[in-house]
This record gives sequence, structure tokens and C-alpha cells, in this order.
Amino acid sequence: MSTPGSLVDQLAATDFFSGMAENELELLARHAQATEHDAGVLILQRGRPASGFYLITEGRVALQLQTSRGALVVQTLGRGDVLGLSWLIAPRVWQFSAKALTPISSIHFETDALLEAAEQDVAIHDDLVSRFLGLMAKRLHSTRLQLLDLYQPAVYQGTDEWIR
Amino acid sequence: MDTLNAGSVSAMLPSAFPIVDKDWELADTYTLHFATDGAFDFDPGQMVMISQPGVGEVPISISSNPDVHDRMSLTIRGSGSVTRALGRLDYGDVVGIRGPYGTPWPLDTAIDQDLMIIAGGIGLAPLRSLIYRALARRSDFRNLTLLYGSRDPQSLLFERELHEWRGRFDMEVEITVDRSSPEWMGEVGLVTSLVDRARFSEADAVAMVCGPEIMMHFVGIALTDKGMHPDNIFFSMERNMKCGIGLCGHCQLGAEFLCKDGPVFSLSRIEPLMKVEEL
Ligand SMILES: Cc1cc2nc3c(=O)[nH]c(=O)nc-3n(C[C@H](O)[C@H](O)[C@H](O)COP(=O)(O)OP(=O)(O)OC[C@H]3O[C@@H](n4cnc5c(N)ncnc54)[C@H](O)[C@@H]3O)c2cc1C
Ligand code: FES
Repeated sequence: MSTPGSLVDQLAATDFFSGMAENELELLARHAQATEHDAGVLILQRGRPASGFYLITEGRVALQLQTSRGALVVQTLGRGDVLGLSWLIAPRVWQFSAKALTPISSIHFETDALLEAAEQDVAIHDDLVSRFLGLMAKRLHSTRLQLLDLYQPAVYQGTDEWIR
Repeated sequence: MDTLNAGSVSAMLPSAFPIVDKDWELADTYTLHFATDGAFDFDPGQMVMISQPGVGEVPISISSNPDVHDRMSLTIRGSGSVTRALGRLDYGDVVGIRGPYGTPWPLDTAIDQDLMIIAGGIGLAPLRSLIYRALARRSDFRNLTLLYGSRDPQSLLFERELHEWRGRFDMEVEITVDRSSPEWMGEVGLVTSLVDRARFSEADAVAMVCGPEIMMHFVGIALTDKGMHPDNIFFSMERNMKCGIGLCGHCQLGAEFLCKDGPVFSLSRIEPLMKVEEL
């Protein structure tokens, strides 16, 4: 089990929290707990209240939706990635389910209490929200590029029969 | 049987070569194999001009092992009139080939560095010859990593080699698809997400990238965001070409002739020109 001090160092060393002020890291560490999940476990369930997020330290997680074709994975997350964005936006329910594809080690942050504490300090609150907004923008950007079907060739205008 | 002989492949004159084997890689992608007499030397990243009389000529990178000297292979996606016509050919049919042309991947810049090979879609074809060469010189490099992004699990090229490379203890292979299927157990997401997660030393790494230009653009951003210098990031620029040897100006981008000065360029050299939409 990490002590708050070592957790602060651990968080500071990640891309997502890098450059964060010491007092904000300490606040985060106070609402954080190391967690483990076995492979196959549903970590988040679509439609359930969202009141936390995870920083994955080891393993792979699939964000998925149940469809008529079975569970379809929209994105996989791994070491260093943040899992769980819906806690920040009303109606604060998970939009996707998250399934552990491998055994997962992560740090879980309890966000109801964290948000309440952060609201006492504008600088902390703004920094936290802006980091999550940045992450959301990055995920949106990636999703748009995925939708562009980048690897498909340009549409062929010819009329010949193709191919095998 | 005719073989491909470097001496006979002169600058503008194609030589006639029969196809000695053909593999379908995907529904729209095939590999044509040609026998060589051992004198056809090329370095990974170089291309040839392949033609079918009466149809046309296109530049294609060499996808085979540069250290196997009796065979040369081209992996081609049937995206237009010439590449589709070539795809209808088979064993014994004859094509014209001239080359090899262009600058190779600068593998020596990666000596004692982490070598990151990053492919998108058909971009794995020109990189396959590089991977063979890098594995042959494995002790020259520190970590060797292949990051490969594909449209979906059905569009993965060279599955046999991917499986083989994944099984090696001296090479890291990460694959991601944009669209998953219920059977796919691997990564889903943009190839840039693999860059974000990859373990490499930014200050001592060299990246060699091939794929659609827009994919290379975003991979460049992901790598520089991680702290890599644009001098150490190399792209293969595969825009339209005609002569392939710096004569016609068809491939000119700013001051660069992509065929003669490229197709492999460092990001620092090509970045300003990548903003030019069309030639
Ligand atoms: C240096 C270099 C190396 C290449 N290596 C390979 C390879 O290993 N395998 C492979 O399958 N292809 C490769 N290409 C791309 C290949 O040359 C083109 O797909 C081919 O020229 C298309 O010709 P076409 O007559 O079949 O299609 P066209 O009928 O001329 O074009 C069909 C469609 O494809 C588009 N197109 C044409 N050329 C290109 C291009 N260079 N890049 C992207 N879109 C294009 C056209 O705009 C059009 O929309 C390479 C190109 C270059 C410049
Ligand atoms: S293709 Fe003719 S100059 Fe490059």
C-alpha cells in the first residue's frame, strides 16, 4: 500500500499529472487508493452513477458497448491512461462499460469528496477541470480521426471490375 | 527464366520480368514476387517503378527482405487503374520494372538508440524490409518497437510475420485498430495512443514512420509532444510520381523532389512542405 507521500511522487511522474502543484497532488492523494481488478471484471458499468476515476498503472481495459453484434470495444486504455470521464459532467453516469482485459493495477480517485474539497480552492479546481477538458478534447480528436477512415484508399472513379 | 538484374535496369528503361509468385494479403492487396540474380541490391525504403505496357507505371516500395538476394517482392493495394490491372496478373505474366530509386531509411542514425517503427495501413509494406534489416542488425539498437495501426482486424497486413515478431523476446510489437469486431482482443484506438504508451527514451530514440500523410502528421505531433526531436523522426512521403528519377518535376514539393531527395525525409525537413495539400 502506498503512503500519501510516495503516491504524490507516483502521480507527479505520470504524463497526466505532470507539472501539477504539490498541494493539488496532496489533495488528490488524500482521495486516492490503490486498487486491483482481475481480468474479465467489469470495472465500470454503463448507466451506473459515476463518482470516480482511475489512473491505470498496469494492464489493459476495454471501453465497450453492448450491441446486437455483441460487446463492441470503442477504445482500449493502458498504463498511464485515465479511465472514467463521466464523473465531471451531468448526469454523471457512465456512458460506456469498462472491462479489464488483463489483471489491472490502478489508482482510484473518489471524486464526490475530491470535487467538494477542490471547490474550496479555485486554482486547484480550475487546474483539475482543465486537465480533464484537455483529455476529453484529445479523446474527441482521436475519435474523429478514427471515423475518418484514414487507412482507406481514395475512392476509385474507374468502372473496371475489381479484383479477385 | 528471366531474373531481375541490376545491370539491366537502366534509369528510364524498364526491363521485362515475369511474376514468379503471387500472394493475396487482403481482399484488395497482393504481393508480387520476382526472381533476381543476386545482383539486385536495394536498401529498405527504396522503391521501383513497375509498369504494365498499355496500362501505366506506378512507384511501389520494395517490401521484401533486403538480405535475401534471389527474390524481390512488391506489396500493392489495388487503389486505381494501374494497381488494379497489376492485381489481375499472375504467375508467368510479365511486367516492366526499373529502379531501385530513392533514399533509404537512415538506419545508421539509430545505432545505440531506441528504434521505433510506426506503420499505418499499407504503410507496413515499405517498413517490412526495414524490420527485416533491423532484426538482422539487432545488436546495433537498444529497444526495437513496432507500432502498427490498421482500419480493422480484417485489414491487418502480414499476419504471419506479425505473429512471428510478437513471439520474439528482442522486439516489442503493439497493434491497434480503429474499428473492432467482437472477436478482436487487441487494442482499439488511434495509432497515436500506442505512441503515448510506448516505453522509449525520447532523447535517444529514432522513429521511422509510414502511412497516410495525415496519420504521419499526427504521429509526428505525438512523438514531438513526448519530447523527441524532429531530426530523429523520419517519414516516407508517398505522393504521386512519374519519372521517379528527378527529371519531370511531377513530384516536386517546394525545393524537394520526393523521388530523388526522398521518399524518406526527416520531419524537420519535410514538415513545412506537408502543409502543401496537393502537388
Ligand atoms: C514512393 C512511393 C512508394 C509507394 N509504395 C507503395 C506500396 O508499397 N504499395 C502500394 O500499394 N502503393 C504504394 N504507393 C502508392 C502507389 O504508387 C499508388 O497507389 C499508385 O500510384 C496509384 O496508381 P493507380 O494508377 O493504381 O491509381 P490512380 O488511378 O492513379 O489513382 C487512384 C486513386 O488513388 C490516388 N492515388 C494515386 N497515387 C497515390 C499515392 N501515391 N498515394 C495515395 N493515393 C494515391 C489517386 O488520387 C486516386 O484517387 C507508393 C507511392 C510512392 C510515391
Ligand atoms: S517523379 Fe519525376 S521528378 Fe520526381
